[in-house]
Amino acid sequence: MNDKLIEFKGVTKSFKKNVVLNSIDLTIPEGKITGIIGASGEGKSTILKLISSFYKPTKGKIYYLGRNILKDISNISKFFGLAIEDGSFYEKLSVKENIFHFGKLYGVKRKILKIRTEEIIGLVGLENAKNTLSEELSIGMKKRLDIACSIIHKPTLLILDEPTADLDPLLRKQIINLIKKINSYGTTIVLTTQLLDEAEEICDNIAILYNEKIIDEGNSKKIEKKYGVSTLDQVFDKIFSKKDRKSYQESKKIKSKVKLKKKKSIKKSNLITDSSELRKAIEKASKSKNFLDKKLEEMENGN
Amino acid sequence: MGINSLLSIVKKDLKIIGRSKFSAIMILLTPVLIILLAGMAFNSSGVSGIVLGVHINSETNLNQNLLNSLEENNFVIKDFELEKDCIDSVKLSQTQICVIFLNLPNETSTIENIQFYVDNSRINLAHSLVYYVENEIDLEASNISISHTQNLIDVLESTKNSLSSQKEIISSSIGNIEELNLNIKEISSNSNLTTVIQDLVSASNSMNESESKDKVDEAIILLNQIKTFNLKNSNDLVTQNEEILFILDNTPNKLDTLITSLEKTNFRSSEEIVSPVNIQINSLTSNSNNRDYLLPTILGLLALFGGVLLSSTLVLKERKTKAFFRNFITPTWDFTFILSCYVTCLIILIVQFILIFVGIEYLLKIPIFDILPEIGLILFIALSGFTFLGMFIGYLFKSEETTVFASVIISAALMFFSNTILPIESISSGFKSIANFNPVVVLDIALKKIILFGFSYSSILNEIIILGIFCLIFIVLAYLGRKITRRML
Repeated sequence: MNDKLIEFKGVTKSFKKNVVLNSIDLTIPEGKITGIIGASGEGKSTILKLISSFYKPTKGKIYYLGRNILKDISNISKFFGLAIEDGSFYEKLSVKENIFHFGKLYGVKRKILKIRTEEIIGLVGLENAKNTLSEELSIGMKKRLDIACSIIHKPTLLILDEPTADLDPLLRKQIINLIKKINSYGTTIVLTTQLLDEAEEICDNIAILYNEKIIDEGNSKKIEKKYGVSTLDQVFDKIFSKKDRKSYQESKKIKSKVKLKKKKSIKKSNLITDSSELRKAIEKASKSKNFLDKKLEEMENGN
Repeated sequence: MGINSLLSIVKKDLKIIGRSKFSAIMILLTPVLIILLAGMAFNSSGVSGIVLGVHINSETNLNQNLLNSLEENNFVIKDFELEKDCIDSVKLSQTQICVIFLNLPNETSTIENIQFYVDNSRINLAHSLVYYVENEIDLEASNISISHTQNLIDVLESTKNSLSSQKEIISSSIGNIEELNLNIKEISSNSNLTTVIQDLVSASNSMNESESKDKVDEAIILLNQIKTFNLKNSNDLVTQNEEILFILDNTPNKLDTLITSLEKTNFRSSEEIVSPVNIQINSLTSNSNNRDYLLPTILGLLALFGGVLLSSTLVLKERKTKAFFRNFITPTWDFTFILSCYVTCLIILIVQFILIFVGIEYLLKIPIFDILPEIGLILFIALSGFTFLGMFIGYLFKSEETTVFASVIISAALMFFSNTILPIESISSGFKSIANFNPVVVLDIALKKIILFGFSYSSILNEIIILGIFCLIFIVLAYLGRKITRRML
């Protein structure tokens, strides 16, 4: 097992003048589940997109087993699997067709692919829906399909962006079990989440992203010990100290404005017109807000 | 991995298109319907059903004949009492052309005055209309001219004949006058009268003064006066006759010259005078149907719009799918995605064109399968070029609206600067030199060469090379478009 499957060295990522990540160093150990936690808009997804080379770092370098990802991405990308928050598959293809298609794109041989597709459908528990069009699947099934598409080529590293977002507790449990199962086969997993209890439950290694930087990294117990608390929730309480609260809120306000402006200019054509999408968006926004509100309220109460 | 990925993407694309059954049917059948409708609609020659506004000052046989002739040639005649109403009817599109007969030929006047009013904004139609109506009127005018000219020829012929007979009369008259002169001269010599006078003088001299002598003297005086008068008059007559003779002597020569000149004119028919130049406009093809002329242009336009719209939409749909992100991170070359999109489009377009060709061959009864290899090759190259152009547009724009808009605008621009709407000869020379390399123009020329004139590969080599170069340029543009915009979700 390599302690440095992925290594960030002084990585900065900015979008025009808006700095999202500022000279971060991060290590993702092989065979473990690493969780990147932080508030919404902190840049968690940006870290994952940097690993997958969708974004290029403004400064710094990212390594996969000592190889510069950006320089050798055509050879390295086959070792990565990635499932993003919104899912990345074809709605008009069936579960089986999606998995098979992406297997082909990852270069899996036809014979092996046929067997592996069935295996993975079984692994993610979509046997009864394998011929169903993806657009007809439930949210939980879509999440599982997305993960299935990400592991069809047996990646070394599985990157999961908010894998349990928008899921009810039962579905969340199913996905967590699936992640653990995949990891048990030796696949390294790096995921982002806003749910601290979830991170604590499944992650072997945790990186806390705050104010454009990784402020802490390591085993959850180790981090808790460092802050002299017993849960990650309490760690966050410490981080969101009264002293920092004002500056944090201000920096968040600025970031939100920049993001809002950017989103407005880019996604004018992607207005939410569907009621289910709207509900989903509201739920997502309220969850993020609840998390921050809870933290701020607790701090104000002096806990 | 490349070919497997490519085939998988093509299969996936075709499956997705096939699952939207209505879209698939529309994609395949719309061009066939267009070609069939166009084929049926333009299954005619020339123009027909043209409404001709007419204002006539005074009805004559001539203008009635003209109007009857126009009606026989499928023109619809609409009479207007006022000249202004006739002109306004063109402006209001109630008629396509207004013809005003102001001063038609009649018994006292032969001046024609026919005025046309056409809507020049419909440039191509205006020219054809004037051409057709003018032709009809020219035909009628020419008939009148032929009749008038025939009369002139007849008069000239009879004059020529009359001149010959007059020449003979003049010759005999010259002889008569000469004989007359001799007689006059003989008379003017007065020998008998002189003898009589001399006898009377002798008689008078022998007579004594008497009343009788006086009478004889008076007679002598009178006779002398007569003698003098005769002499003078006969001299005058001779002089006048000689003058006449002088004139008449020259007249036969002049008549000869006239007769020779008339003979030289040698007009066999009045048509020869009215239309000394026989104009014959021959068609380069045996086809005379508008549909046949239009077929290369329609095929070219279907290739343009089909290629550009289909590929740009396909690219954008792919970019807008949730799967785009995963496609990005799979170890698949950019060129594989470009090539697979191209292959998908090409498969759909080939199926489209097979259906179109079947429709043309069996429903429109135009033998297109005979020229399938040539037409297939040029369409393949053109469709490839247009597909890559559409892909470039698809990569360049982010929303479906702008992509479709840009595709339509670019296709329309290519169509506008071709021979489809107006001949490219009607645009300025600067633009024309660019428009000559417009792929739509090049394709149109090649298709006309093949379909209308039956040329083979060697004759369309230039067009193949130009379209091939365009194809390569658009491949590079599509590749750059994807490279530049691949991170822009």
